[in-house]
Amino acid sequence: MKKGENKGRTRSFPVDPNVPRWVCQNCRNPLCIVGADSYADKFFNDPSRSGMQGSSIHGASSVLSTTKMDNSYVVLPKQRPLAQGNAPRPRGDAAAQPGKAMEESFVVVYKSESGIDGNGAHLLGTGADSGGHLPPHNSGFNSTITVLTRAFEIATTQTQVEQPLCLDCMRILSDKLDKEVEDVNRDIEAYEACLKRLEGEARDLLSEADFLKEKLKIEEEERRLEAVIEETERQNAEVNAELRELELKSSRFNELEERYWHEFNNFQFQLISHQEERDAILAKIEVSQAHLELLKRTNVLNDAFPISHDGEFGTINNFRLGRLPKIPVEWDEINAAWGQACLLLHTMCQYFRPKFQYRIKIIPMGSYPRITDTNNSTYELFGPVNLFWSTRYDKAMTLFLACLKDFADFAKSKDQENNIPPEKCFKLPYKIENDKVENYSITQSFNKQENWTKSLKYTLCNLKWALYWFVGNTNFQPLSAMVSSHAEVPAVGPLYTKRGVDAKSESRN
Amino acid sequence: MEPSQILSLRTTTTDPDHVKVIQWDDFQHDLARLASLSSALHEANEKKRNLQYKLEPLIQVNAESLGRLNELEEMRQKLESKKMVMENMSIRSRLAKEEASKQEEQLSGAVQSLLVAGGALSVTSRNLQESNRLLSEENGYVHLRKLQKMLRKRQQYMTSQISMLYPVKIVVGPAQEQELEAYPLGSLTGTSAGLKPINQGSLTIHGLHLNVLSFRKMSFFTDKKEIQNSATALGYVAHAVSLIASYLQVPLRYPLRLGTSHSYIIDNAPSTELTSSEASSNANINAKHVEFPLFLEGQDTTRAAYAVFLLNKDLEQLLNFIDAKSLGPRHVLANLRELLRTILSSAFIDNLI
Repeated sequence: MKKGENKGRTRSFPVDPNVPRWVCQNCRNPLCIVGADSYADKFFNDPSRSGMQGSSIHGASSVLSTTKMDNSYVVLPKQRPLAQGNAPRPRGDAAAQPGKAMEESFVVVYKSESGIDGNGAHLLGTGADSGGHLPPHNSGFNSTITVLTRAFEIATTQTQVEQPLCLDCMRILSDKLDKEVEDVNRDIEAYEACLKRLEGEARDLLSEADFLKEKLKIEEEERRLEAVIEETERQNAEVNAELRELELKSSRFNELEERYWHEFNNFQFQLISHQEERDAILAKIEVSQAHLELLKRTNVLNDAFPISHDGEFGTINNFRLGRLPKIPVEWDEINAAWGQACLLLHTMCQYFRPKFQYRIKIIPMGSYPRITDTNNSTYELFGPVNLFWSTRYDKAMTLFLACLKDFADFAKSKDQENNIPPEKCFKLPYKIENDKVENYSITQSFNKQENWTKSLKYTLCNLKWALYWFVGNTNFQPLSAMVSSHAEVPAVGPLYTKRGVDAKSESRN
Repeated sequence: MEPSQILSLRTTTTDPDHVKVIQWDDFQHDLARLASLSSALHEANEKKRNLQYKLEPLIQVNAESLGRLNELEEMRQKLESKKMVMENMSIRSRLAKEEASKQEEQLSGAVQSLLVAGGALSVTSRNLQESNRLLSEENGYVHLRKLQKMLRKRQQYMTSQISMLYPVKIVVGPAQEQELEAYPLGSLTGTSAGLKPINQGSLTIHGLHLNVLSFRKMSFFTDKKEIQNSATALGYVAHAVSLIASYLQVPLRYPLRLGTSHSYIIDNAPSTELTSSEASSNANINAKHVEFPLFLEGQDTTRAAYAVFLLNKDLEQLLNFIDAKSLGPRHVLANLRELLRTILSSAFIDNLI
């Protein structure tokens, strides 16, 4: 706007040939100043001019104060980096750069002055020529020129810029200077802040003596630390050595452990093998022991000729002897039973010959037994026979009873010889008298089947007792062993007695 | 300088019409502002220089101080670094020491347990060897051998009683009775019965001959008594075999059903032909097992002969059980005699397996 106003003012005024012409020292445009005549006189005579200059300076001060405020705002961000340790150096650099800038600006001003000086001389020459040509205005023109020249010199001195300058150039230059003033004020504030901080920090600064003391302390600590490090390294080496040793021991231990497990497995195998073998032997021993016990409890004659009963029937080797109306036993079975009874009685009588007088002889023939009497007559003891032809069969059965009685009497006499008490000598449980056993006839003729069967049952029981006596008093060995048999008789006495009692109880039941 | 002068001259001479007209008041005003600004700038620069002069020594001192601080800081950092190294080393050393201590403890424990286990294994191995020795001696084989010997003695004793009950003898000559065996007076019964030997040196059981030939040529001329004698002899053999088998604890392949002179032998798994044959002839016979008669009276001669054959097989089984060999398929009494002789010999007790 100022420029616009300036242009308007310039165009509105007419060009006066009498006004002296000047050249702008910056843009080299011609210029003339009007209205300066009256002021020229006042300028030199009136002291109020200097007062105006004072007011101008005051205005500049106000501008400076404004610049200071701007600078304070600008400087604040720079102060924050000061908190960091590295701040001083960048600060120094920042301070240096504005200084350099100022120096450069000064250099520019000097060049302008030299240029202006040349131009001034030229202008003065031109003025002189103009003054010579116009005699009527010579005194006033010269005065104006002198005054303006003087003013220009003073202005040049004050502003440090070669004068005269056109208004535009002067305003531009003023703006520049204003900015530079602001910059310098900002720098001044920064410098002041820095100065305050440095003065504040002066107390905290490290002196050479303190520095050396601190350095020694650190060096001492470093030496101590070196010693500790050496100690630690030594310990580390020791521990590593120990670890290596442990590793070696561990590997050796592993070898030993493996060997142990091998031996353990071997032992376990041997243990299992041993257990199996032992179990096998124990099983065999158990089996043999049981077998031996069984055989010890077994007697061959008892085993070959077991005598028992089956209801009303007496049995020998499971063959029933007798017949009932409701139970008609086959002749084969009755014959087999008599055959077994005859073989047993014959074996016992035969064993004690010749001491035992075998008067009535039994001829065992399996299912066809026969008996011979003292007259050397032989009777068949097997069927089938009928009631009307049973005389020989009845005779044979009677002879069997007689033979059994003879053997019982012999047994009794044997016990008496062995000094066995009379009440303990052998005696048949059922009395035999001629053809009767405990008052039951053994003959079949004119006899009930029930009575006959009962008689046969009693006969078998008597035979059983005789067998028990025989077993208890003999080893059933060849006769060459009779002497030892006699010697053993007292020892088996109690056994005989016990067996007799058992047999009787069993028979009764 | 010359180009400047030339330029200024050109400006003056060439553009006289473009001269700017400036009012003195305006010029003065702007000039005053310019002068005040220039003065302010000068003052500010002066102040700045003064501050700079003050600052430079302080900055110098501060720089030195900072240099020292940096040096100290560097030294401290180096120290700190070494301290860190030392601490790391110390930590590693401590960890390694702990590891070593732990490993040593574990190894010690393991060694202890291995020693205990090894000792225990040694003791148990020794005990096992002792047990093995005892097994080979009192507690085991020796005991078993003794027991088996006792068992065999008992078996021998009982077999001797069976031989007393059913003596098997050789009868030589028709007129003179000479017993080749040690059993006396056995033949009197035979003599009383009126038996006459058919062949010289023939065997008898309880004084009875066993004439197997009669089983093949049955006719009206065959002596009834001879038939009874053979049946009785077979019955006696069957009874003896049954007793001996029970005392040796040998289950017979062909079990026996005793009936004195009318005994039977059972085949539990007969051949198909016999089964079908018997089934057709005898409906009552159980197909599962077949009974064959050990007598001729009222029986088929073929079945009776087969029964004798099976009885001989039982004898062979018993002989094989005691490591003896059969004398042939048709020698019933000879095999029975061999069986009795072998059991009653001392080798039966001495030759334990």
